[in-house]
Amino acid sequence: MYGIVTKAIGDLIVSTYGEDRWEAVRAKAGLEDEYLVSTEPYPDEVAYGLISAACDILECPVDAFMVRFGEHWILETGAACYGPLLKSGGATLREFLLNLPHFHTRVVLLYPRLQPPEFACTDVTENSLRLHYFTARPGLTNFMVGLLRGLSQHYETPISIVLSAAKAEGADHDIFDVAWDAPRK
Amino acid sequence: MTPEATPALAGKLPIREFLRAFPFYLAWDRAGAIIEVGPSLPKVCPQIAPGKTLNEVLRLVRPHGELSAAFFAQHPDQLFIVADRSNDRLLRGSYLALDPSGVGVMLATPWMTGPDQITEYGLTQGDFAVHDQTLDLLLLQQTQHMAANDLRQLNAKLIAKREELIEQEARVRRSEKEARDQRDEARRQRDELEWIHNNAPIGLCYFDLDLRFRRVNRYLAEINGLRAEDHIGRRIAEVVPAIASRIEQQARSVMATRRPARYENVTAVTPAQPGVTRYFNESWFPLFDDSGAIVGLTLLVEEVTDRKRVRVLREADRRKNVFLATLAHELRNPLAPIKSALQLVQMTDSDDPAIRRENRAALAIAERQVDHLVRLVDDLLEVARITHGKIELRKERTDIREILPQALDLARPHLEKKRHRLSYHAPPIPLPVIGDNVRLVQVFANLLDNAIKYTGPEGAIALCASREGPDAVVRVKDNGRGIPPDKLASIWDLFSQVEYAREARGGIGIGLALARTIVRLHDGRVGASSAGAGLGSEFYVAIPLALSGAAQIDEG
Repeated sequence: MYGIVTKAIGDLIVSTYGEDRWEAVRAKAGLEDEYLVSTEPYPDEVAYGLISAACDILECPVDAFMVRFGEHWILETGAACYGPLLKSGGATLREFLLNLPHFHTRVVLLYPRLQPPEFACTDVTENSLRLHYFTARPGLTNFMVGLLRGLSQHYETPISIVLSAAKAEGADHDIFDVAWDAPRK
Repeated sequence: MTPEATPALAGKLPIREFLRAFPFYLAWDRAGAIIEVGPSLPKVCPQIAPGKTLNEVLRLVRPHGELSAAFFAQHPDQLFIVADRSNDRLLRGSYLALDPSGVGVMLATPWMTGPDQITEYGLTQGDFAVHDQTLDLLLLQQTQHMAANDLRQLNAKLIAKREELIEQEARVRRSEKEARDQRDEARRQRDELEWIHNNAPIGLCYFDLDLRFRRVNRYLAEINGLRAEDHIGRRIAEVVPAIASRIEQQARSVMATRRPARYENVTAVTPAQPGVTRYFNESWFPLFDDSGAIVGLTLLVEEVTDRKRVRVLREADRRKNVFLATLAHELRNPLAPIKSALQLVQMTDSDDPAIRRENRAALAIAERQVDHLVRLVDDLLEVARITHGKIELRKERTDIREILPQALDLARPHLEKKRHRLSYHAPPIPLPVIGDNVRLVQVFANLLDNAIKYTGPEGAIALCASREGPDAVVRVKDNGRGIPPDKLASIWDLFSQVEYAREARGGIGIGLALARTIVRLHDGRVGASSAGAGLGSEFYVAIPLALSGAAQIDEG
């Protein structure tokens, strides 16, 4: 994963729990002296190690932490790092979700050594769609849930999320049935 | 490159589908009147609309020329940049001739230099064609901006770190300098101490708890007759065997008491000067560690031989002066009666028997005084002989029991004169010695004379002989004035008299010195003891007994 992911974990912990806890997490993960550059790739173990250390030190269940991290990714990291592009992703949640596959295809070009997730939208209606989430990395389903919740807050559009297929349970990939009340522009 | 359809694609390119791939396109006719715009273009440039001319709504930025349909047609391979006259927004793209009638199209896309412009222009990403690289450029720009931001933060951290390191380095340098200064100061002090240690005119050494030499200075090394470095690690007995037991006893005493100790006027014959008795003051100090445990001992050795010699010489000089004064007095005293007697005889020269009797009496007085002078002079000659070692003994086998009565006879007039009580005791067994009878009588007479002299009238004097081990021992005891402790050792010296001696009974202070010399010539020894001033004295003489058949007679 790129450094932006690990930096985002740090931002989440610092803003929620304070600098001391983040230093403790870094120490536990063996990253006291590391300075992580957003645009440099790091082994996935770095991010997983930080998440594991954070859950230990903050005494937080991994699932809850990952949901919180997903929300933070949209509302804080995305806004801070890709604010204008995030805004231009779509005027509505539906538009944004439909643009999501294109955006991650562009990300592939941007980070040639990244293995970004791939998205596909099917069964698209005015109030719902089926979001297919393809990733080689394990354990990110709840992160995806957090991302969708974050988008819901960003677009001020209440949504329902149903995990209709889970890779962790043998499916080919995670499938989220996302529905919202009414389009807002 | 001129866009010409290949035979394979000829007639197959649906223009509407093609234009859908360029949602910001605009098309014009031969006259340059706009006839159609793409669906996304009005969001960026609302003024560009059908019915208006190119030149009316657009300004040519690049290439240089006059904006017209013909100008586009003349530059089919050119990248065009035009600006919306109403809002200066830029469009970039290429020209496409649609048909021979002169309809032309600019395959445009808005030029953006920042991601903010997407929303500023009222666009979303869905307004761009999928193949349009504008979004890629903006995404790349944003990412680079983020990376640059990271690097700026990193740079700031590195600068802060560098300043911290510079400060740390400065602190380290200051600490190093302080440490260096302290080391230099410590070295200077150590050198000073080393110099003092090595050059002090006093002996210095340090012992460990096993009483092995740890360090010795030059002065003490010279006293010991051994190089300083050759002391290290050696025991005391290996360096100064003759005095080792005494030194070790002192050291152990200091270790036991944990207190300094001082010993004055210690005598020693050192390896450096064999046969010479030297005098030292010795001071001991225990060395403690921080916990208060003794880790070693320091010994300071100050030689006082010269001081001692000066004191001895001064004392000898003082005694000599006293002696001369006494001698002058003793010599002067008889002269007055002699002179009076002679004057009397001279003035009363007569045949008158009475006068003649008086003259004879006067001459008898003169004769006694002359005899006294003779004895004084004889004593002085004895002193001279003693000084030059010219006393000759006539040794023979004799018995102390026979000698003592002769000495008593000599002393008896003085005893009677002062009405002393005398007790005399001699054993019934013989006390044979090899000796000069006359000289031994002189020894005991001197001892008795000394006792008489220092005992007040009607005192008690005891003369006692006994056999003690291998010796015949004679003791003379009195209840007289006694001897101060500090004089006990010096009373045997020549011209030595206890201060109140002169008032006692005259004398020139050679009797005891003569006695000791004579006894030593008989291989004997003398001694004196006293409980103190006013408490009487006891003098003794010990002479080896002459064993039967084994005795030899020395003739010299």
